[in-house]
Amino acid sequence: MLLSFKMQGQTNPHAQSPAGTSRNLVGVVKDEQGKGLPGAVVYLKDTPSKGTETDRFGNFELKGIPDGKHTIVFSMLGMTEVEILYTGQESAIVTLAEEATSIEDVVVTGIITRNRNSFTGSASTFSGQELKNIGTTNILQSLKTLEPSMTIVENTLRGADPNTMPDLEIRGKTSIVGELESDYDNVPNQPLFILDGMEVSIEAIVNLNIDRVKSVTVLKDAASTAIYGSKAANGVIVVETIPPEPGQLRVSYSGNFGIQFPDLSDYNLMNASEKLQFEKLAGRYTSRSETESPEQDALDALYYSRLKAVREGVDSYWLSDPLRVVFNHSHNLYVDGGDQNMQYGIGVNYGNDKGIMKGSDRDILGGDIQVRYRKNNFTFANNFNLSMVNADVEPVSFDQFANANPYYRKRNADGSIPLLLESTAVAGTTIYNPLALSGITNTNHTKDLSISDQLDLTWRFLGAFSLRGTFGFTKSISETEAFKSPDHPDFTGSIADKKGLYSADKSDSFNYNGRVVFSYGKLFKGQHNVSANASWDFSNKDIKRTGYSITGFVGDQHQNPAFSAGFDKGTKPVYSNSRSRSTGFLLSANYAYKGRYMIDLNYRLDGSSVFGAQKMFTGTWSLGAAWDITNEKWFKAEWISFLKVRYSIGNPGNQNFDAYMSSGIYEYNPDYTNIFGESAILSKAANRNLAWQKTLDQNWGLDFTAWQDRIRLTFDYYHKNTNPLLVSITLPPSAGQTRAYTNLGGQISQGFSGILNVIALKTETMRLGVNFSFSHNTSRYVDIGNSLEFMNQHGSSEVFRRYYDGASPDDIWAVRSLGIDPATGREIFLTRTGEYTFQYNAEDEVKVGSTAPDLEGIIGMTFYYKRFSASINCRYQAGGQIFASALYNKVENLSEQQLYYNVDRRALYDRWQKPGDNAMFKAIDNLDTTPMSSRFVLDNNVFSFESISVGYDTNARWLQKIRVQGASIRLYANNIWRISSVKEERGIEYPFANSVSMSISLRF
Amino acid sequence: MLASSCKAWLNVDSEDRILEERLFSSTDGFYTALNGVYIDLVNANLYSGTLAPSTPDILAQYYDTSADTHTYSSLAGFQGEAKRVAVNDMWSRAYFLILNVNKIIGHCDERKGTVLNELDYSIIKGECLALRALLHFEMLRYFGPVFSVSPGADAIPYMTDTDPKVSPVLSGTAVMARLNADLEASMGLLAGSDPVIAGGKNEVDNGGRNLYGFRNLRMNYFAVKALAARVNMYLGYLENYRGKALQYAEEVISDAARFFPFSTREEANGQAATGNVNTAAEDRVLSSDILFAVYNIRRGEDIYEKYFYNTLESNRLLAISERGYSSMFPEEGDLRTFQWARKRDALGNDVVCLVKYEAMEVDGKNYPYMIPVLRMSEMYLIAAECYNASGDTDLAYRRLNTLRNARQTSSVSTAIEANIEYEYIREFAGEGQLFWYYKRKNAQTITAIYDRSKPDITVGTAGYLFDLPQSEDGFRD
Repeated sequence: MLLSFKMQGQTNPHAQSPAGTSRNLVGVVKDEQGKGLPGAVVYLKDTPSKGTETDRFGNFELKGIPDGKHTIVFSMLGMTEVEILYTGQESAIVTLAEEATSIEDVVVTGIITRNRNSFTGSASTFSGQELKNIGTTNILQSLKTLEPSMTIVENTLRGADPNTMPDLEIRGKTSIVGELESDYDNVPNQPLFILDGMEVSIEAIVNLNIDRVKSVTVLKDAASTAIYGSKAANGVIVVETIPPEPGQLRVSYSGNFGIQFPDLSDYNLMNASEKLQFEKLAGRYTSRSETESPEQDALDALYYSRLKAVREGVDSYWLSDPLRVVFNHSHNLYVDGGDQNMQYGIGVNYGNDKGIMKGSDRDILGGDIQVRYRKNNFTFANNFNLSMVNADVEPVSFDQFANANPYYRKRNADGSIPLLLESTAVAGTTIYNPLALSGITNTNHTKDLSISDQLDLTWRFLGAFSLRGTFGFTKSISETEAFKSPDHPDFTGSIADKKGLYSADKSDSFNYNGRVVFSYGKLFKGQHNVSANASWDFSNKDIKRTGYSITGFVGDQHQNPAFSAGFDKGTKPVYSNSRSRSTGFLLSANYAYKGRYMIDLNYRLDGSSVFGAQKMFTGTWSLGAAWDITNEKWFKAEWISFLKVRYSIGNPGNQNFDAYMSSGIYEYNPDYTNIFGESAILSKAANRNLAWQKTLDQNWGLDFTAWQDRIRLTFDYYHKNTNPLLVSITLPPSAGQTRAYTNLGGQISQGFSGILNVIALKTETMRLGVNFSFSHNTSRYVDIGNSLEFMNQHGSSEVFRRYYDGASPDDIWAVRSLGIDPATGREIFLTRTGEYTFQYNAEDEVKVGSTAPDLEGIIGMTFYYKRFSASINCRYQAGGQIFASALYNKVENLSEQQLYYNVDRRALYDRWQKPGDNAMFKAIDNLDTTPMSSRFVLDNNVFSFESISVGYDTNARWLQKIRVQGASIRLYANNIWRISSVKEERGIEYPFANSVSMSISLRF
Repeated sequence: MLASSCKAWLNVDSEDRILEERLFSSTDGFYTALNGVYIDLVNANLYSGTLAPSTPDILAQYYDTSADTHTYSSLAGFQGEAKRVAVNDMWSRAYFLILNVNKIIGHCDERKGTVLNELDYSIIKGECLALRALLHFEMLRYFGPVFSVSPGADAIPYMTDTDPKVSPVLSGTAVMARLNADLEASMGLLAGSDPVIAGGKNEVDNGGRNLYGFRNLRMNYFAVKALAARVNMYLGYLENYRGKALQYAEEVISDAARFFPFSTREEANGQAATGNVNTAAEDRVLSSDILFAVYNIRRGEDIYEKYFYNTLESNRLLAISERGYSSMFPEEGDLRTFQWARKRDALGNDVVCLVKYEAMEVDGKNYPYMIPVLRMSEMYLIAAECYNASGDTDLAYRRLNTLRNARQTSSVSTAIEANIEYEYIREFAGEGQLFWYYKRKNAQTITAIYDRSKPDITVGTAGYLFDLPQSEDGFRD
């Protein structure tokens, strides 16, 4: 703990007073700069009613102190409490230090920093070092290992692509039934990100160098997110960067170096002879007409030519071709220093994040300048940030390599690379050699530049009051240039002036925002701690998007728009301007009695210019209460050092999309004109009677620490009731619009999460800790009745979600399957009544599983020995099911077209071939589409080593000779090993990666 | 004050979108929404395709699609799947526009007297009711029954609600009743307000919105009446409907003929527009007698270059043979021959292409952008058919010959029915009316227009019936 205070209590041993009388104590309470502190409370610890306050110069006079020895408490909000022993002295000068902000003791909400002990909400805070002990990729990747309620939705399509932003969820999805139209700027379930008090995009968080992070706080329940109102429905992630510290000029450097390599363990593709055998069995070489037809002869010839190639040893392994092992490094240099009044910090960082696919890159260059100035009651702080990102996208998608058959030769005999693997005549469509495609220019380069500045002014007055203003702006420019060579097969057959494509897109945004917070905080009589805040904030965001694409290039040498033939006929440039604004008023109050009972109240009014909002302002409120049992007088259990129970309730925000749905929107037609002037057509008809989706969120929490911090437990249980629910229903086209929103029923989500830390072993030099985090969420529909019956029937064999009372959005519905009949190769189903049948009937479907795991989380261990430390964190997920769509699509339901591409090995080995086969999948030559059945619903248990790291700190002599004060080095292995009960292809367009890395920090 | 200044600050406009409430808060907004419907009528699934130049004319056997590899051979052969694919998107687009129209009608009634004055209310609501009838009637012709066989069969839903809702499928006769009600209401509103009644088309561009001008590009009073004639003629096998059809047709002829005269040769050959005969200025749609046309600034690109352009791959091209052409136009002076041209296709074969919708620019003229929907000539044909059915042969020939002469062909005095059909064939190429003539007649076989030497094509009653699109039908089980 960094908690520290100074005490300059002066005692005068000669000033003995006569016994039996009351005495007085006079003195002054100062801050660290020696300035008197007004409004500080001075009282006797054993009789708190005997107390006084300092005047506006910090002077106090405590009268009528009974005889004997007493402990006198000096206390003030925001300052560390000081106790002195009163033995009869007449005067005392007490210095109160500003309350040191140990990360574990405060909750940084981004607007106000709260003492954790009096906070009633559910929030967890992690220090930059804790994040760095997990990994160095980015904050969010580390955070998902530390915070059980936050998940990063696995992107099975884009895998480890450095240019794809992660999809985050805190406490699961905020549900909308049915499909959602993409009218919204943000991913609907993404939390709100706050960086140093200001709202930022997810990119800004991902781009932030992990060495610049002081702490990350995740706000989860209504009580803690209410201060952000309707934007915070999905939770809030608050990031604080390291401020400059006073002292001599300090230089610190940290560098991260890593090797990332592709993880192809989920791919299970056939080799050349397997593939050929599979094709043969699947009937690829059997003519549909009678066997003696010329068609059959051609097929035979094709088969034997391929067989010959396979016999000659052709067995191309395509997967490794587009991939590479990459070395990534990032560096952060920070210089800070200053005196008590003024501090400054300058940081520069660079990060290189090459992707494991050739041609995909991302590098980030950033810098920041921080200045803090403090004079009397004023504090002035300014942060300036600059970041530049360069990103490149790979030219050929990974699936083209995964699809290529192994019996094709990669290269001709002369070493040249053929463009075609298969002509249209054979496959019905042209199959190109992905290797040749990689050689054809197809670039996509993005350059982002972002500049931001933030000014923070704080004025403390009359002791108990403070006024803080924060103003910032961000200017971002993002430019993407893409060029596709005229030689690209996309242009085969196009006339000369339509070959090649160049496109340029630019988005230029300017945001400004500000916040003014008026705070009051005071401790009355050492018992009643009252604080209140009123704040007003505003933000404005302007985005201009422009773009065009032109065609008609002669070659790759001039990838310059001036060398094009111009616009393709009928196309025109894209140009759009949009502006969004929001403003909000917040009132929050906190009361704590003797540190035992705490109450939090929040009310926020949010106004937003979200297009279509009929109702511009919406209110959100929350109420929280907590009881710190350890502060009770009667509480005697010494072994428990901290025990607090919390409860909160509130209505977290109505999502922005509510507003869209209650208003009709017309769109102007820019494409066709006539002589009657402007025209507009309905882009979305509204349901004017739509009620807003209301959620009531309740949270019960427990914080527990025992045996000198050797056991630390945080547990939260939440219950969210959303009623009415917004349901997106499908209409027949004759309604004029095939999708409409309506209110139906409700949804109840509940779950729990917790973190348990146990220090199993603790000696002078050694510490061994075990950490275990867990979470579980369930949801169910209520009051739906049979109003959505038509959607249940509609989706029967294609989707597996059903809407009944008590049904869960996570449930998987399908007809039960008994597997493949060994005699016939046909699937045997179980009817609702338990009879066996070959006939698939959607009526027979039942709930066969749930995608929600019974329990998931992290189990880990940390070990410290002297200056050496090690940690290991593993993710587990147990008890859920998954619909194995890769098996369904790529093993079972292979279409005739898919036979031309390489497929999963199981299509050969696990499909039924002849009577007696005990097969997982249907007959190998059966090209009919199998409906979804329980056969593809598999238990999804996963265990993976998410992070392993080892570190060493030193301030050895030899380092000091080279002027290094201290150094630390850390080695990491991330996502190094994963076992899953479902073996499925992941990373279709971009594979997943494992990484091993090292970080070095030096302090000069 | 703080609250109101906050609200003012939050009020942000969008460049490409506008809120419904805001749009309908001014008369101008009403016209913007109404114009949105007119402009969308040129959608490729409506009058730039499925409702006029493509599907119905392919089904009517205008074009040679006999090659197996021809894109439209299965449609021309009345194959179920091809028919289903052809009309799928049209259905949703038409009903989308109907919803748009219903929204405008709803707002008209809410804001009469506050936002809209009497005149604008009558014109806007009158045009909207007519557009609603027009689009429903187009759907009825496709998806409704052959009335003379099963008039009570399920047809289509008739949408009048301002919110997207599921509505029941009505029988053919029920839809007819709704159509007549809308058309009568529309005529009632326009009769007292439409400037076309006294002033005709008024083709003077004043800039701006041209609010009460260019009535031939709007569902004007006469166009609505002509539509009513067409709608009632669709049940022309019944005397009472035929009577109404005749009445409407005769009223249009007597009241509107002076405003919508037939085109002259000078107009057709470009002389009227440019001072001399000019292929690039030909009024090939013979625009003068058009009562209502949709206006497509990309007509050439959307229609001609998609279906009729001779450089198209030959299996996509819609064209007829020289033999078909000469039997279609035995008289060389026929003004409608301006709509066709002898060309060479991609394979080097001689073909005759419909150049009616070829892209061109003629100063001050709208005909290069027009796709005719309703025209005066049809009124003469309806009248002729009605007179003939009631035994009034003289009047029937007189009406038919007025049209024939106007198109600069000779008069006839025999075979009235065959000659009426012949006139439908010549008059409505690219306008999609002929097939519906066959459907209402329940013609069991029809002629291969592209080459009369080929045997007639058997349609049968089933050929005229279209299933509701899957996306619609799925809700109806």
